[in-house]
Amino acid sequence: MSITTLLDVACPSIRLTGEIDMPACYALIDEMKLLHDYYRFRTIELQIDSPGGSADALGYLVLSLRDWREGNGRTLKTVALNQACSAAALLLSLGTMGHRQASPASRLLYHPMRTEFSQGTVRTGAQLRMTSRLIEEWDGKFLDMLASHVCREESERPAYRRKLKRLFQKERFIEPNEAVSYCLIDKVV
Amino acid sequence: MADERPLPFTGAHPAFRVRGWREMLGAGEEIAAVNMARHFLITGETGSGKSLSGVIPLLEAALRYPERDAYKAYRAKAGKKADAREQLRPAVLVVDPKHELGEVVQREAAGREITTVQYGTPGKRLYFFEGRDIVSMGASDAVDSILAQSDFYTRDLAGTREPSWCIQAGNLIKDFVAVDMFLARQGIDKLNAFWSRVRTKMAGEQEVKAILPLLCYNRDNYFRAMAALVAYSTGDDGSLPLAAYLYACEEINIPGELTARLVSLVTLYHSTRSGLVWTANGILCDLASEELCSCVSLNPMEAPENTFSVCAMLERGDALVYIPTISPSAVADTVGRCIKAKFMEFVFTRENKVRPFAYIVDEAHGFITAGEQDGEQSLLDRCRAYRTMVVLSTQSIASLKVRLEGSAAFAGSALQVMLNNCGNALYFRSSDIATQESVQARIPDCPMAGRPHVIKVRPLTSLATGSCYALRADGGWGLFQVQL
Repeated sequence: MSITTLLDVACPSIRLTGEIDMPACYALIDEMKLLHDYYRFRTIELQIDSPGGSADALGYLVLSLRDWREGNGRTLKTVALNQACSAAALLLSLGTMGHRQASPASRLLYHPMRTEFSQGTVRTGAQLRMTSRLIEEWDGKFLDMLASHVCREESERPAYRRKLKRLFQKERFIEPNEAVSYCLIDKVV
Repeated sequence: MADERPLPFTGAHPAFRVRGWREMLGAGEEIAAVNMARHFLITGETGSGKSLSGVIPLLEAALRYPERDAYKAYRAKAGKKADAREQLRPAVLVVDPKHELGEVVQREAAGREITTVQYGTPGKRLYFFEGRDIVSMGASDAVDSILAQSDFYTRDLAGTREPSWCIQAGNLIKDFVAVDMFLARQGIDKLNAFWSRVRTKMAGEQEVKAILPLLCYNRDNYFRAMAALVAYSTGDDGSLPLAAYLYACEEINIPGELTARLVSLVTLYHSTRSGLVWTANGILCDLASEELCSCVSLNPMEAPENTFSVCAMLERGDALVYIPTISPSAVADTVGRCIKAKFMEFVFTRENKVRPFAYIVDEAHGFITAGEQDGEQSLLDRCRAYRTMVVLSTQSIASLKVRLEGSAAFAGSALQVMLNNCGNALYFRSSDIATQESVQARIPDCPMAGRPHVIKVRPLTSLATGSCYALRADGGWGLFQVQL
């Protein structure tokens, strides 16, 4: 994980590389808070080159960035540089609407939530069911979040949610242009 | 002795509402009255939006104060102890060199009587000795008060290494005034008769023919006769006009102590006399100029007609718009000093201190001074306790510095006092280094070690029109866009 900030007069950019875990998440939130509260920027560009990361970290991050996502006088420009997969792809799509971009050479991967068991661990049926429920909850939560972020009209959200779910289940890399067609980003730059 | 006990705003007083400052002040766009009285400094280059986004909203806020809903809430809370709404309507002094603020004052007058004084244009005048007991006032007091406002005198005194010349020149003027006051107390007729005698004494002299019509008591331009007399008193032949004047004094038995310094002047060696006369002449030329007399009366014996009363303005909550000349002028500075000095005098000594007073200066670098009576630094540090709010708008801090350096020996300290006493500051776009340094000193460093100061990242030169760094009296600061 690495966070680098370039301070520009008009719009600073934060480059997020590596895995999105809790330390990366806290560092990113602190950085954005500093840029907003001290440097008084209302527009920040977040450049992403990440293979993804933890659902917990993503969940915490998107909650903390609510004002930025919703555009309450602030703009979070997200840009996929090389790859934005999994949690990183969701973070990319949860940037301020109209300001989500990807470079033409970037790879984007959206997929349902996964869990990893350490080698040699054992699980009971109840534990597996609980894990499964948790994963489904996270899936539902992120799909709802994306649907409400992208669709202004509530009536459009269920159909869009279904469309996203189908895409996620395919678990394949998509081109930035295809992401534009799914409204997961706004333009290719 | 006037009662100078203050009557400051309290936290309960209705807040001022500054329209367009939503981003800075929140949805209510309100500034507490106590914070408003901690003054504003507004800087920004031409076109940065400082007038439109800074000065005008503040002027409107002062003129609309107290707004109906805010007053209602205050009244409900304070009950019978509440000040009457009419009493809280501020009196306003606006310095408007760019002719932008007068229009706002007219628009938001709300029943106020508005007096406009334009430099060099005849109209209503300030009476400099308003509120003073001119019957018992001594010539020395009167002249000292006038000299304190004279740009020529104060600059000369501040800039010279030999102030005795300037002081002696002032003493000569005191003798002239003392003679006039002595006679005026016996009746203005006596004074007229005296000057008639002086004219008669010089009637046959060809070289002073040109000034004869000026040698008379002039109620509206009091110093005109003295200025003419002194201007012609540098010759080798014993200074005819001055000698004639002293003969006339002797003939009507003017007490010798009143003219002692004039008599000794005649006896001085020619070059010494000339030096003193020219210094006095410099002072008197300004005091007798038509531009000054069209705005201010300095007559220590009687008030001319067509004057306005500063005391009544403050009492009634009226507005004075002073339009100075944009180009620098010593006489214009003297007019400004007189107007300010008078307002400040009454702000502190008026009987009814309930009514607030707003003093708003656009292009302050062309107007501020550092004098003891009229200097902004002497006003700012204590007037907040007298419900006075000051707004100083300027191009840059460097321009304030330049302005003060020319007028006072302690210019640096005076500027520092001014800056320190402006608890609120708005810094619009500017390339001035001094302003940039001031902002850097006032905004805290980055809380994260090793990171640059915000002003280094977002310098004043990068700000868009209407965008400014704002420092508030309550300690808050930010970078805001005024939404008009």
